Amino acid sequence: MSSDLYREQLLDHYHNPENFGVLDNAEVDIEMDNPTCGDMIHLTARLDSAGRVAEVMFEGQGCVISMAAASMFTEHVKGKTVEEIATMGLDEIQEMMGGVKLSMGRVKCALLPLNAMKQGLKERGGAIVT
Amino acid sequence: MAYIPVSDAGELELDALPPLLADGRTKVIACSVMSNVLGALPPVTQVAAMAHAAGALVVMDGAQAVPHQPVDVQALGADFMAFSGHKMCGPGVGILWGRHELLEAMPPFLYGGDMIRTVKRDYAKWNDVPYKFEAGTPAIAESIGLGAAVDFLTAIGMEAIHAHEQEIVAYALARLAELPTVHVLGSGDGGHNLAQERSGVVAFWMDGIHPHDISAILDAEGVCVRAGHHCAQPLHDRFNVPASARASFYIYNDKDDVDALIKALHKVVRVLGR
Repeated sequence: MSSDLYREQLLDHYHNPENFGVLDNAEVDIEMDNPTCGDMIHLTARLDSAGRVAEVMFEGQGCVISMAAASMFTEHVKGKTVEEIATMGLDEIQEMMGGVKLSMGRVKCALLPLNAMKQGLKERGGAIVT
Repeated sequence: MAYIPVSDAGELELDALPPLLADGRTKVIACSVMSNVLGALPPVTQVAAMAHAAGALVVMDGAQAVPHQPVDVQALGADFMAFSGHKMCGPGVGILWGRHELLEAMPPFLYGGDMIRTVKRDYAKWNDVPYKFEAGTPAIAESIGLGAAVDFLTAIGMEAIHAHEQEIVAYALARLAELPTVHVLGSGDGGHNLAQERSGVVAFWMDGIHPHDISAILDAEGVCVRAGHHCAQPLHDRFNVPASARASFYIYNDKDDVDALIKALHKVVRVLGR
């Protein structure tokens, strides 16, 4: 399970995350954490005129799963609509992470970036249905 | 609410207590007999004496201590002592020991069957202590299980258990010192030199590696540790650590388990170290 969970792909995203940083003038600007384990993410994003994610960046600290998921998520979510993000769930996140099967204890880590994005979109006043 | 500070070595700074007690308003001092994070053994007898001198009661948390060493509530000067079956090879059942005269003076907080003696329309008389505090059907199976656990541990001997743990934790700390990126909580300089006697829990953090990841890799190697705050978030704040991993040793552990832990930690460094 260890070699499966900590495969090279995840570790690469953990050590060299994509889109790491903060966007200026972002309409989505949200901080979220997992209080029980200390994973924290700050997500910023801009939508285009068609309501699709144009740019997204993240910064944060936490376990390999949460940070690798965040890195992968910022790539995965580009070009997606608000509605498509609203219907994203664990299955899609696990597939995004290379088909990994997460144990109960790590699900919250992997979902952190998605939950942050959903909350961020909600708070910006978009008509997101959760 | 006031706090007795903790030193970097994980020891209670008792010098700070008298000023906190000076205004005479303290009602209760709550103190752990043995830390489930630092493994430290605070000088609770002294705390109790200082509490009593200031007119306060002392409530002791024995959840970690009672399973791991001989505990004499009278000798310690406890007014109340709480502990739990689940940390002493027993089922999940909580125990609160209290001095008789204190329990006599306290009103019940839970009402129900058997905690009453007489019930009229306009008054009720409570049953004697301890029944006054045992409303309703008790946790029967759990209590019987606790009794079995007490007999089991008594047969081994609490002194023997304590000595066994001391040996293993000393070995564990020595071997952990081999890993430069492992830091034991409550060891003064963040290093591995612990002067005082301590119990068989070792909470540690590693440079640049999240405890969640430590425990996941250890788990795959057959080593179980706890990762997180261990129900002690303020303590982690004090040591400026977001979370930690904790290895705890008990009667069923031996030095081979320590060796397995060290081997697995080397793997953590290999997989996640930069």
